[in-house]
Amino acid sequence: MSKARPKARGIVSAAVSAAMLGSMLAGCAATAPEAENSELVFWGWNPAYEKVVDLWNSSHDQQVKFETTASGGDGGYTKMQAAVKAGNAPCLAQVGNESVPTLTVDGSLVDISEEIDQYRDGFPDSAWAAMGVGEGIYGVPVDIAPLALFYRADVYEKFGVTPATTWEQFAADSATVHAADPNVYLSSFAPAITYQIAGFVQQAGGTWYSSENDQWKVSMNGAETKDVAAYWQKMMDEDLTKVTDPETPEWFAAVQDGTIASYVAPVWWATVLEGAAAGSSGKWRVAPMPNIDDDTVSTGTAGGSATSVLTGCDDVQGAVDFANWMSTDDGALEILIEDAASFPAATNGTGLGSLSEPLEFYGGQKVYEVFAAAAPTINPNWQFGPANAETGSAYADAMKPVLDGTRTMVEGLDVAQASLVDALTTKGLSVTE
Amino acid sequence: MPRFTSRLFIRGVLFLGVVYFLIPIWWLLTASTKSSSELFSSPPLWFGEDFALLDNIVAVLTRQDGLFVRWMLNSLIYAGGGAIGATLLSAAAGYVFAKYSFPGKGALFGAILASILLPASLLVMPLYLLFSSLGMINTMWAVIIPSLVSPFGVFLARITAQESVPDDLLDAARIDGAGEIRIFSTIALPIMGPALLTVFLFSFVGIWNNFFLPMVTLNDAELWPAMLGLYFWGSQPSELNYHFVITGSLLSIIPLAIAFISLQKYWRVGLTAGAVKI
Repeated sequence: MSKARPKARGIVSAAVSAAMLGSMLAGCAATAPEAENSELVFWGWNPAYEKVVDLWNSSHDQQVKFETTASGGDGGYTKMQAAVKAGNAPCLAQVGNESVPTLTVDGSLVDISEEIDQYRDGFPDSAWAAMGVGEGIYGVPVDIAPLALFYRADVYEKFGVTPATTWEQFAADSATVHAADPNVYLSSFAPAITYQIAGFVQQAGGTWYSSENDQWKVSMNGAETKDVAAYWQKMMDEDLTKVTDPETPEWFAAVQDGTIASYVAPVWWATVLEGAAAGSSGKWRVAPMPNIDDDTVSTGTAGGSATSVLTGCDDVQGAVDFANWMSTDDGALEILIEDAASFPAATNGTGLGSLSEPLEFYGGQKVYEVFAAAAPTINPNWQFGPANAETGSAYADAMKPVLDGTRTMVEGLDVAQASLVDALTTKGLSVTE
Repeated sequence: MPRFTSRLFIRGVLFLGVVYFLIPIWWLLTASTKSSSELFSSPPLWFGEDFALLDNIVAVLTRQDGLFVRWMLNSLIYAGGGAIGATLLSAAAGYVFAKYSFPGKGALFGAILASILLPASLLVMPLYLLFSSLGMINTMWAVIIPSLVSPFGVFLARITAQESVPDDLLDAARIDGAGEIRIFSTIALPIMGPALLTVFLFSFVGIWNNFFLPMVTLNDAELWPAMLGLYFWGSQPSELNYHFVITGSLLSIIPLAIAFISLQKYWRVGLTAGAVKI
């Protein structure tokens, strides 16, 4: 064992205490009240926001200060809620679409429907639909996350299939490929993971929640959801999809060696795949996700985010003005597209230069054009609910028995619905079925 | 030879224990040498094809203008400063509980013991509101002050003082005319040393890994400890940061390893054997 030399220890402890002293003094300085320039503070976790804020500050009198938090579900929202309680929340916060209702219900967000009125035309209806709870609007859309089919062009070619336009065709192609090579699946499916099926349900025109005059209607076992569940149940029963959790190391290995040949994923996933599956560069393409039938083109989403105004902000209009600028200004959007692979929610954003660039990883395909075409077809009927954590766990717990075949997904939906209604009632929310 | 077999059995169990504890470290070592795409395509407990450790370390140290170095320094400040403070406070409190009698002593000690049972994260929200009203949110104090209190440390220090600081020694010092503070600092404290080292290490590791409190109270990324920074890197969506997080984790356990290895030689029992009859 190494013997620590006393001399070295002395130096280390001296350095540490010097550092401590220095930062304590710095800490004291930081506690001094801030100067009276009413700068808007903005909390978020998107690394590109810092640059966007710099761009704004260089051209506007009203200054904005960006502070990084852990991402929302990983503690960022907890932090916002605590700050609202303590009365020292920042004016602006990044909020994922799925969490807008949750934060609205606990009183953390400000209704900005009046302040936003002049900016309404800049965004599609489906983007506003995600911001609304009851009659109010609780955020300015920043990015949307339409789904599309990421597929391995080389594997598709090998088995002589083309990207299916309908789910029915997709099932038939899955059978063709799997019959030709039992090691290869056209897709993978995880029955107990919420976000995958939520996007499919949205595409089918279903929703798990709707809000009218302060009442939440819960419908996790609605007709559209049951149709989607029955489809994937059949796919699993006939061994036409690989039952596995997506985006695990094993899963990434499988998509790289082509044994899982496609995945329905949101637009921001384009860069994720590029980072995680570098070994299969050039073999990937993107196509619109299959539809219910050829006549009704509709798209689901997974993700998307907003800039919301937190309760206690004393310059709501100023905050909304900044948020709208961030979501619509060409310069700001270019940064978001380049640095964070965000896909703009604003109608003027989908035609921006960098979205029409061919990408090497996708064999030179201009993949963002596929998403731009899909964006207007996002189904606005879907609404997120007031309790994300409970929604996810009710669904996941009810679907776990599906994995060992003791329950079908359709049966699971009724179980999930019942336990979700219970959980929401326990939280003190008024729900109907 | 039952004795031989039992020894073999014990060694076998201990060996399994060693393997169990070292596998994660081994995984961390091998994973740190892989690029982010190799992480998924190479065997988990062995090295990949390229040896990217140095690239990864450079990437971690230079990412966001070298913020990681700042985070490590912050962690040292929080854990070092907090643990030294917690150790001294625990030692003083434990010594008082062991050697003095005063009204309400039992109830007070009971309350301290009961607070061991409170999960730390339960106190985060009240602490946040408290520091918020003191104007200390987003300062180092918001992390350091709560970590100065270690109920477990008080408990351990009390037991140590009871067992290893003889009353006769204190009486002898009093007869020689030493004041109570001096007796504590020059006689009791050195005797309690080895146990206090345990308190120090426990506190150090506890604060080093503390996460929820800094996350809620610190808004400025410049003030974050390494754990929070790594967590932030790992939780960023739409970007694969695994190799940053893994290599950063490897770098972040080095100070802990140094603390343990360099301090273990001071772990001695029976420091006071024969102290009374010098």
